[in-house]
Amino acid sequence: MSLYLRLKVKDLLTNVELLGWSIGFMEFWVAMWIFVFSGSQAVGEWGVYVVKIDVALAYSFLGLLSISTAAIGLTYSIFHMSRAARYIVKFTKIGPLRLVMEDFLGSLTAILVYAAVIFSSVIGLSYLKWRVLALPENPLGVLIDLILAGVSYYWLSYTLALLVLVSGRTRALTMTSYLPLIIGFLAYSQLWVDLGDLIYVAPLCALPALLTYHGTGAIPPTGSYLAWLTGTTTLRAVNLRLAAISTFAWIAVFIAASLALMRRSRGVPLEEIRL
Amino acid sequence: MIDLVELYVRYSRRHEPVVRGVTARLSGKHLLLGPNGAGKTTLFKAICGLVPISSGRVLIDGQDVKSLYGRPKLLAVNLSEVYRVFHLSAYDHLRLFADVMCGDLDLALNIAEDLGLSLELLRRRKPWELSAGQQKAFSTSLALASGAKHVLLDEPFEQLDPARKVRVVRHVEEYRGVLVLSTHETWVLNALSKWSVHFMIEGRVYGPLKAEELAHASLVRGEAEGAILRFKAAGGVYSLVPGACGEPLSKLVTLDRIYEVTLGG
Repeated sequence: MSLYLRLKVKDLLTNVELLGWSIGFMEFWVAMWIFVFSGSQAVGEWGVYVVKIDVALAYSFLGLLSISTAAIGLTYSIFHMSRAARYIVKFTKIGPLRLVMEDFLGSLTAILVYAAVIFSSVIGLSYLKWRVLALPENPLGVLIDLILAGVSYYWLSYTLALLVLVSGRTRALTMTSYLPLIIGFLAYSQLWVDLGDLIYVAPLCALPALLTYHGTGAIPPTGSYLAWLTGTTTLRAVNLRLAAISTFAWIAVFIAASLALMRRSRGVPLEEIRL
Repeated sequence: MIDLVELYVRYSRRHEPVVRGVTARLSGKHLLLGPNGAGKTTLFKAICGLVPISSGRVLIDGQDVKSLYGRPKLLAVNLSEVYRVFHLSAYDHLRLFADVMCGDLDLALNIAEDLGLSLELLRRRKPWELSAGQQKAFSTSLALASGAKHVLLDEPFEQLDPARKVRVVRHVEEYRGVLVLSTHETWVLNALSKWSVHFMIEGRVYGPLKAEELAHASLVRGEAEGAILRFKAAGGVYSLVPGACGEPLSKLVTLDRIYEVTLGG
């Protein structure tokens, strides 16, 4: 592992602001979910099954929110290192491709650590409350989904940071950097709202379906997850193939947009634009 | 060797160029002398490829800076902003850049220590938490420890106390490679008397001249006979003439005072 990559990970894992929002703040909601919003008992086989689904929803939705919160910090860090980046790619041994790749790998590692913390605390606290070890049905599937979420939000952040730089609208940075969180909350709204076919079109809204499926083994609906949990309404099952295609398509869109913006930013005074 | 060919730099189409038609060849040790706002920092940024070049070219060892990528040891600069990457300590940044620039970490630490930056301070503070003078010393240490063939030092004496200024002089004198040092302070003409000098005023570069020659030159208004240099400033023409028949350049202390002279101050 190169020193740049190690320091990138260290940077993201020791940034108090980032840790505060992505872990500290989310841990509060983890505790709220388990101890306040969820039922108090897991009686019988059915009760244990419901707890397992409840826990899977908790780490899926709160994990995604944590990642989207981290994406705000990523947007800022990508934006603020743009000045140094131009120097680094020219006069150090880190060329442009290596810089992008190491930045990506470092950010993804940190994002996965955040998600792992949320995941572990959900599992731990739920065990504390119900004495049910609600491990995912398909741990590898959950891991892959979290990686997909990390990749998606990283490239979304990259696109947004470059968009601000290339357009020269640096005052829009604060608002723009919050777009990942807004998208995260759009996905989160599926706990109550059935977005229907919109989940295949809206950015990154298919991720909760994939996570829930791999977490529970059950095919989730296209939305209204809490109603699904309580079994109060009949909901349309999500098309998992379409959900996966949608996620990959959005990743491709963000990567393509980033590359296009990078190309446009060549020769543009990124560091002076913000004056 | 750094070649500047008819170089123009402007930050936007609406604004006047900051660097205007600069043609120069920089090899060996050079002073880039000029008042604040003359365009020295922008010129350095253009040489590093950090700002857009409106027209003209920057060639470093014959290669256009626009097409240079992944070239450690070719060029290093002491602009503080290029050494801020992570939310980490100055020491971590020092380690990082010594590594990626293929420089010498121990040398960087020694120079930093010599310029008043202890290891403990570097570990405790982030680069932007250092004072202005410390930031300059920090980036200067990195540039000088890079072992790069070309080093650009932008105002390395700024905010430094006299003792540390002397130490910077010693380090730049010892440096083996092409070194271009920009400053608005005229005392360096005596301290670095063997260096060649380019004068930069209002985006234009004049020279080269010899530092020892300029150290004994005076500034007069108009086109004086026997002038070693004529330049335009504040809408008028000024000359640097040998001897003490005008305002001695070394007594100006800072070239910012040129504008006071032009106002008759």
